[in-house]
Amino acid sequence: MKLSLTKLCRAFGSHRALDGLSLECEATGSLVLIGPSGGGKSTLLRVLAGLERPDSGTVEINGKPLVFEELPLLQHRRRTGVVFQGFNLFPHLSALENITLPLTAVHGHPPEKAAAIGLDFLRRFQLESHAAQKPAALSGGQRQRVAIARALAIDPQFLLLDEPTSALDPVMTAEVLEAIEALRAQGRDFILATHEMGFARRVADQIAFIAEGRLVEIGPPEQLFGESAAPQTREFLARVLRY
Amino acid sequence: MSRPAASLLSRFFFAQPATGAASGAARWCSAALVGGVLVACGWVLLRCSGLRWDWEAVGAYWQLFLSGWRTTVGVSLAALLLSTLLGAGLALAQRSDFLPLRYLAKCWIELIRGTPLLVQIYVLFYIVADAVQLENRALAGVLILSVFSGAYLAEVFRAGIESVGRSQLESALAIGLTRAQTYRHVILPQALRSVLPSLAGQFVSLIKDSSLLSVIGLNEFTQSARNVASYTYSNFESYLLLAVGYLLLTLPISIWTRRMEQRFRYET
Repeated sequence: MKLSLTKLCRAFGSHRALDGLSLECEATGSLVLIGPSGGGKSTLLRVLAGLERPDSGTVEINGKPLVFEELPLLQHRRRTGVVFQGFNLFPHLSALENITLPLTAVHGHPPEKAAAIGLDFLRRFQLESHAAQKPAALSGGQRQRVAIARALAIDPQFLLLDEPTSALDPVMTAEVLEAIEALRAQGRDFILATHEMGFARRVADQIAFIAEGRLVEIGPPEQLFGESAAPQTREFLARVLRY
Repeated sequence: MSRPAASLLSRFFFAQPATGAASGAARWCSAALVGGVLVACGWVLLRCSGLRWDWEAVGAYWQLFLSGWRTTVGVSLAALLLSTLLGAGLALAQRSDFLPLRYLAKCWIELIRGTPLLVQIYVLFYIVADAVQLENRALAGVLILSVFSGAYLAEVFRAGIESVGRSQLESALAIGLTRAQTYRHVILPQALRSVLPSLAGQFVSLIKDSSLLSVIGLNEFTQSARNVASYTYSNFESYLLLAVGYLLLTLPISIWTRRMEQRFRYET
């Protein structure tokens, strides 16, 4: 995946969530966004997901500019898998139906084929015995894996994951991180925002440190976790890695 | 209280405190108790009031009752359908991006909800229906009731739509659903569940409100009962029949919506 962002701005009232963020990254499988809360990671992911329109600036994904108008955005959302912090499964649908809804309603698969795809993905995440259960009957880790399966089942061009483990306890976090690691092993492109620094280091091809709505630096994990990192990055990492 | 007595009471008259589930014996005993007490009270009150039944006089007019009841059923059912459509349309119009449509819907809802049905019936029948030369009273009745009930239903539907959380809409957007698909697959199923109890209440009210249509000369159920009462001087019998006739319509609605609530039940 190739990503090119120039001078992205997005303000909510007086708060500048993105304040002229520019970022270039070539041929990256997994890009991990780190940085303080409120620094712009989520807003950036929402812009990339086509859920938020920037006030100014441009986004280019794999050489194609993202056009922030209703129809192209709809097309873009349909090719993009998004996993939210709060799972956001549909409570009135079973685990399997949550996965098949986009397949049948958006991608035009016949119901039998959608169910086969859905079951296949549930199996991959060891969830096939929960296919008929509603989200309320699943644990947090199971819900988040269903959400990942839903995002993957449409065969997206890439996956966006916004702090997918921050609402989970350590055991469930491990379940979900394993699932994400498997994505990387399969060569699936994704952009992940996380506070799990150890995991970021292990799973990232490139790490971007984002603070105050701007990119501070981007580079391979060795660079950001090493001695040559920018002072702001080192200060942040020193603070979050202390305990 | 002694322990055997307490356990007997809990066996026949109490649901499980934790689950709310009750045994068959407990349900039947409790129902029999409530039914028995109500009948006994009614009987005692009637005895004390010295009322004499006269069903024969009223019975002679059973055809009048039946035709009135039929009219009420027909008008109510038609108005139920039409008001649901109107209510849904008004609820959507209130959320429209096109402002004139939104304001029109708001005006309609506030005007109708803020004025008595009786006034609306007079105005809509003697001015509006007259102006467009609509003479069929039953049809006019259906339209008037729908205009009235649609305004209430619009608010019920709006509350239902707004009860669906922002994160759900976001999720629907993210998977690439269009606006119409979002309503169909995400909002409607979740909204329906939360509006069913108020929907049932509104439907029941609609059926009872149809009795006011007698003021435009529609021979519906209440009008028939009133007529029979004045022919026979058997007020009490006529109005008791009237109550039973309305219950026959309203109870099934309550039961049906309870069933639907069970069907749509899921935890959040």
